[in-house]
Amino acid sequence: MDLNNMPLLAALTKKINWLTARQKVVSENVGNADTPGFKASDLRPLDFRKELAEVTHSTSPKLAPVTTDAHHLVGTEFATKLQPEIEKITTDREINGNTVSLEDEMMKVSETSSDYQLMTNLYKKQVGLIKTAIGRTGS
Amino acid sequence: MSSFDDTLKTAASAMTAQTLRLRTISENIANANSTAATAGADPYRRKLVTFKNVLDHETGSSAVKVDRIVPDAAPFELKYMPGHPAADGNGYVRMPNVNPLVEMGDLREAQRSYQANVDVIDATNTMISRAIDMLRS
Repeated sequence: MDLNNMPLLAALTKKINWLTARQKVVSENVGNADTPGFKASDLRPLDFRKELAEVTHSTSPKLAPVTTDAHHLVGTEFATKLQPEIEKITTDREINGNTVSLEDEMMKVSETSSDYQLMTNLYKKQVGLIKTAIGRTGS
Repeated sequence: MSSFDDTLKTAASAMTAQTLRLRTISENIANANSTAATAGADPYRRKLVTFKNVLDHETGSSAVKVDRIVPDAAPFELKYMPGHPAADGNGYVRMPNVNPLVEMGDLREAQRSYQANVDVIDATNTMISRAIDMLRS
């Protein structure tokens, strides 16, 4: 059974991937806080409500192969490969053209970290519910 | 998982760069009074570190590297010390162009940047262990 076939778990996985990608972008910003001319970047925010609605209410996942013949098999994988959109922050904060605000970046680090904890806890809870449904032997 | 590795690598590269910057600052402070031994020779000249941002083609992330260590072109200060071996005909000695106050400010900045990177690594490690925790329960 593919756990990602469950709408909530699929949405959670997507958000977890987004948070991982964001942590990478933020670490680049923090690392280059003293590099002249470096332009800070950030990921475009993920709308969790929209993502959840998308995986819950759509009968076929986005970008799913079209079945033109009754003999075609429908894949089990969701076509939700995360392609984070990166946007640059262009307002200069320093005279050397650097646009990194260390304060903002540190806020993002703690935000990402706690969001990540929220997502993993939700995931664990959901898996726990499945285990309860399976029964005692499942755990 | 590889994305977490990239995160840690970027932070580590920045820490290495800041460490080199800190080393240069310590050289400057230590040599704040290093005059020449003979008349006419130059005293210690302050060093400056410049950073650059390099794209790691393997991971696709932008890491930090020390670009160059350049000498500070600021003029030397003159100090009247006729008995000094490096004194010129008028009794003036050329002192290094190091301003301890500027160095201390630079030092604090390097320290803060280093700390920020350590915090990023801490947060990333917590995230990794939370991901591993999903296997438990």
